[in-house]
Amino acid sequence: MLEVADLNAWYGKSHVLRGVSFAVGGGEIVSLLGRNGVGRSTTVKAIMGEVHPEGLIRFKGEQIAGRPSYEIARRGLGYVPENREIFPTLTVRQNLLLGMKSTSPSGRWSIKEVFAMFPLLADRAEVPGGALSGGEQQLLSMCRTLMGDPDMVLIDEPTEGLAPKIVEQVGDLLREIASRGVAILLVEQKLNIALRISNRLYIMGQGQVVWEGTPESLKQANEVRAEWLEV
Amino acid sequence: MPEILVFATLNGLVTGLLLFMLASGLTLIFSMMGVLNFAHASFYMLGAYFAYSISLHFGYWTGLIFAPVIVGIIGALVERYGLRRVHQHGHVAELVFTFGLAFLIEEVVQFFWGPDTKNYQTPELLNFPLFTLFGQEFSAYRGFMLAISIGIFIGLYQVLTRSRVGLIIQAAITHPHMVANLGHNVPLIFTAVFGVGTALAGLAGVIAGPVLTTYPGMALVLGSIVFVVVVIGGLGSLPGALLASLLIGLLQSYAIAVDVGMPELLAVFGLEFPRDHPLDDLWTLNLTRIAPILPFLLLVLVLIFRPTGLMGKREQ
Ligand SMILES: Nc1ncnc2c1ncn2[C@@H]1O[C@H](COP(=O)(O)OP(=O)(O)OP(=O)(O)O)[C@@H](O)[C@H]1O
Ligand SMILES: [Mg+2]
Repeated sequence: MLEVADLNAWYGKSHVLRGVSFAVGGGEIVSLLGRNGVGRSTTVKAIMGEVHPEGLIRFKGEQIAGRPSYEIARRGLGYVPENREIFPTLTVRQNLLLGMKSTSPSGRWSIKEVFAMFPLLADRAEVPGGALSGGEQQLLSMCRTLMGDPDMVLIDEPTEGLAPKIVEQVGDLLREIASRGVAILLVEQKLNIALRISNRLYIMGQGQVVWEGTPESLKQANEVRAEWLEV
Repeated sequence: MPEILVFATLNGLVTGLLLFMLASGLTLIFSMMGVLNFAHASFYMLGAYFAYSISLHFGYWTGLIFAPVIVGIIGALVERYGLRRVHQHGHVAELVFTFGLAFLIEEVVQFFWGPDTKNYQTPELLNFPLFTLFGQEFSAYRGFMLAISIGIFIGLYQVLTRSRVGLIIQAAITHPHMVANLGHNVPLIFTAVFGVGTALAGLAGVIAGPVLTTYPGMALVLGSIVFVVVVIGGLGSLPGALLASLLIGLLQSYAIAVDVGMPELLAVFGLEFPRDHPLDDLWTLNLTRIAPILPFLLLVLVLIFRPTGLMGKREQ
């Protein structure tokens, strides 16, 4: 589904991504782990074209590096950014409507279904997005991206700073997404969530992938966790 | 006194809504793209000149329709092939670009139409007094200007708050990257907003040209006031731009209408000055002469007491 090889990116003169390589198969849940500032968010931003990428990014067999963001999204790649980016002046319903790429509803998800899944969003359908709590905004941001019916989603730290109860709901939604055959690249810091839902995991060090494996192998690899994850 | 109030208010509304026709486009462009378009009023001038030339051959009404369209197309092309390239080099380059564009348009206008004032006339059809109140006439053309501006205001409001495109524009004001990440063609929307914004400026020029006179300096004169409007309203705030447009329109109109002079004002306090005093110019100042300075006076006051403008938000 998604193949990234020797990806490089810069912020001005600082070389943030130094040859990142990994792959995600169709319907797979893959986590990208690593400490603060190693370049996980930059990796997903480079894939979406929000940061200028150099290297190979192949989505459904086609090179997308350097294409405009809207075109990448239209090919079926969804993105939920770490700061959620809810449109604050638009209502919850309008936020969801803008997730759709056209006015005709189609595909795996509908607004009705989203509201059935999350009554707390349904109750606030006509409230401006800016008035929601952090957890509600996270759920809304994920659902908004799903409205575009992506075949794969990049989700950047969806549980950061959220109460355990909402973290639970985010976890449920991630499983629901996967159950509909949508591939997920999950950027995470919380090891337990990643271990519970991922098929495979990658760990990033300074601008590079330094380890790859399954949840079982990571549970065993104490020295890997100590070197690249634990603070 | 009541007739002064009625007419000054009507004329203030005409000016205010005309200012808003420019300020709204300027504000939308600024809040979406972060570009303060110094050439915005130049598109207003182009509108007037195009409409003037068209009206010579095909009449006023043809100009009214086609001039804004042509201006909008030029605006869209400027965004697509000029601004978008310059954008990669940062905001300063963009500012310099729009500055240069303003000078270029002024030169082009002088080159093709000459430096003198054009005899751009109101249409025959509207050359009658709309109504007469207290023996004073309100021209049909001013009524027409008012109707067009109100129509544009309502249309703009409807599109922005009700239509899908309007929602996308609102969303792109806060998170343009996210809008693109959801699959919307943001670059195209930028071009369209720039095109529509400049077309509105052009339309303002078409309808104001016969009243405010059509000459090469018209962009600079109105442009500086529009600039004042967007700063007073709060950069990037549409409601602020509306408020400031009406405020300045009415303020200027009242100042001209009331026409009290310094001597009268001083007389209220029982003061009188000999006419041969060296500061005579100061004692005899009257409001009408101060009117053109009022917007800038207000600008300075607002910047001192409320630097973010009336409805602007503080930069984070
Ligand atoms: N807009 C920016 N301009 C300059 N440097 C940046 C910018 N954004 C991030 N960086 C730097 O690039 C590096 C990678 O940042 P990135 O956001 O990808 O990290 P991350 O792995 O997502 O970590 P976290 O989300 O925990 O901060 C960091 O050193 C960060 O300071
Ligand atoms: Mg991050």
